[in-house]
Amino acid sequence: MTLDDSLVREKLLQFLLNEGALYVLLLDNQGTVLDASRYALELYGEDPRGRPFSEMTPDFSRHDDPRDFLKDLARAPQGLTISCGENLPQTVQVRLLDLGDQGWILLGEFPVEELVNLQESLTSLNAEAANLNRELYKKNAELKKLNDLKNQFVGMAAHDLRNPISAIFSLSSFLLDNSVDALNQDQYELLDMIKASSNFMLRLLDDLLTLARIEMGKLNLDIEPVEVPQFLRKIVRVNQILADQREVALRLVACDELPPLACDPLKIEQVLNNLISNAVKFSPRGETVDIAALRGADQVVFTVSDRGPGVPEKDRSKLFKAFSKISVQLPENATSTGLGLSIAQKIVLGHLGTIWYEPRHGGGSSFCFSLPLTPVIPPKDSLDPILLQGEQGGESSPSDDR
Amino acid sequence: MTVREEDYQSYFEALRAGRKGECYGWVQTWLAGDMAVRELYLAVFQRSLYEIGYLWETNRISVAVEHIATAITENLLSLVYPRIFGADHCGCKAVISCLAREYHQLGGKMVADIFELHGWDGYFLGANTPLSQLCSIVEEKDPDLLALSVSVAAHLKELDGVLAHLRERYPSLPVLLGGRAFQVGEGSSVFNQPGVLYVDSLTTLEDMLEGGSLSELCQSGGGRI
Repeated sequence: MTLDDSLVREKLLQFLLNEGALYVLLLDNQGTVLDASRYALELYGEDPRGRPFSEMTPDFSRHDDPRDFLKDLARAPQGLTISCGENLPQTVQVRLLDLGDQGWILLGEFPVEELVNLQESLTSLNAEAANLNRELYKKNAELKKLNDLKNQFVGMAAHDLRNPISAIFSLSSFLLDNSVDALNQDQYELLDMIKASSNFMLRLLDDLLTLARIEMGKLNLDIEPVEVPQFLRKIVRVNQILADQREVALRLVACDELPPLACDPLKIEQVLNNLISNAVKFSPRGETVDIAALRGADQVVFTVSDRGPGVPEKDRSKLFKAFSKISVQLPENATSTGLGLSIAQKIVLGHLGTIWYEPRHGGGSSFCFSLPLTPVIPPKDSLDPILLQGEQGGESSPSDDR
Repeated sequence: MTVREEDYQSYFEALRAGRKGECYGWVQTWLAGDMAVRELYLAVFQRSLYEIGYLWETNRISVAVEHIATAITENLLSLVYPRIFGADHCGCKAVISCLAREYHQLGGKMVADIFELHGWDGYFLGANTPLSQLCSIVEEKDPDLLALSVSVAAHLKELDGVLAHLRERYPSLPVLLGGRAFQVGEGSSVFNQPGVLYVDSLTTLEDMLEGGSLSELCQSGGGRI
C-alpha cells in the first residue's frame, strides 16, 4: 500500500502551520507574507499576513532590495539568526527554502541557546527568590519572638498595675458615696476626678491585657450555637441604659431569620458592645443608633450605624490600629483607650470573619462585621499576631473608640 | 517517622517529571506525620537531588530537567521553615556560603537550616558569592563560625586561596567545609589547616551540633579539632 503523496503533503503543511511549535512563513516572490504558522503569529504578536517581510525585521530592511536578502539567505546553508520582536524567544534561526519564481518558505528553528540561557536565568531568579523567602521567614520568626516578649511584658505590667488602681477606684467611690457631708465642693470634685481617672485606667489595663492575650494566640474561643435575634435584643437592652444617659435611642432595625450562629457569644457581645458604645458616644443627643443583622449567602453581617460626624477618608485606614489617633474630636466627657476596635477586629478575625467601616448614607458611620454561618474551627494561624497585624489598615478595616 | 521506599519513589518520579504540586503534597504529608526535618532533608531532598544529578551526569535527563527539579526542591524547603525558625536560639551565629561561580546552593542552604534547627542563627548568603561580599557579611554578622559549601570538584583548587585569605583576615574564625565536591574530588590538602574542619554529611553536622563540639570549637577560637 502506498500513501497518497498529496494528502501527506497537505497534512504535513497543515500541521506545520497550525499545530507544531515551528516558525514558518510563506512568502510570495515579492517578499510579502502569504501565510504564517500559529507559532510565528504568537512570536510577532500581530498578524504579519499581507505585509512585506521587510517591515518585520531590521535585518531585512538594511537591504535596498529586500529580495537580495532573501536570495543571500537562500544561499546560507546554516541559515541566519533574525530578531522577531520583544516576545520570547527574541530571535529565531531561519533558513530559506527557495520556491523559484513563486516565492519562498522561511523555516525557523528553536533558538536553543537563548532558551537555555533563559532557563538558567529563571533558575537563578528562583534561587534568589527562595533565598529571600528564607530570609523573610527568619525575620518573621524573630519579629514574632519580639512581639511575644512585648506582650508578656505588657501583660505582666497591666496585671500588676490593676490591683493598686482597682483599690484607688474602689476607695474613691466609697468616699464619694459615704463621705459627701465631710467634703467641701473642691474636695468632692477632686475625688470625682480621681475616680474617673482610675476608672479609665482600669479600662485601659483591661484592654491591654485582652490585646496582649489575643496577640499571644490566647483568644480561646468557646464556640456554641447562638440564636441571633434573642442575642441582639439582649445586647440592645443592656446598652440602652448607657445610651439613655446621652439621650440616644438604640433601634434594632432588621434581624433576618437565621439558623443558630456558631460563635463565642461573650466575645461577639464584646465586639457589639464596643461598636454600639462608640456609636452612642459619637451620636448627637436625640439621635438614633441602628443595629441590624442580615443574612448573606454563607454569612451573617452585623451593622451598627450612627448619625455622628463620620470618619474622614484619610483616617479610615488606621481605624483598627491600636492607639491610632484620628482627627475626629471626642465628644465632651467621653474617653477612649484607643484599643477597642483593635480588639474587636482580632475577635472577628479569630472567628474567621471580617470587619470594616462604611460611611453611612446621609451622614454618619456604619461599622460592619461578618461571621461565617457554617461552624468553623479557627486554624491556629488565624490568631497569629503577625498575620493579625497584617489584616490592619485599608478601606475595609475600622479603631475602637474612634 | 521514616520515608517509606515506595513513597520516596513516587515523590522522585513526580520530581523528575516536574510535577511540583505532587511533590508539595508528599512533603506536606510527611510534615503532617511529624517527620523529622533531618530525615526529610537527608532521605528526601538530598537523596533525590543526588539521584537527579547522577541522571544528568550520565545523560539520562537534560539539564532542563535538573534545573526544574532543583527549583522545585528550593521551593519545597519553605514548607519546612515554620518548624525550623521556631526553635529557641542559643546565641551562636553561623554564616554559610558558596564560593564564587558555585551555582549549586541547595546543600549550603540545608546546612544553614540545620544550624537554625539547633538554635543557631544560620545566615545563608546564596550561590556564587564573591570573596569580597563574603568578607563584608562576616564583618557585619560577626559569626561564631563560617561554613563553605563546595559542590563542584573543579572549584576545590580555588579553596586554598580563599582559606588563606580568610585565615589572614579572621585568624580566630573557625571554617567548616562540606559539600559533594569533597566526596568526588581531592580536598585533603585543605583539611590539615588549623581552624578548618571538614564535615562529611548533614548527619555529622547534626551530631556535632547536638554533642556541642561545634560550640567548643567556637569557644576555643578556632583551634583545630
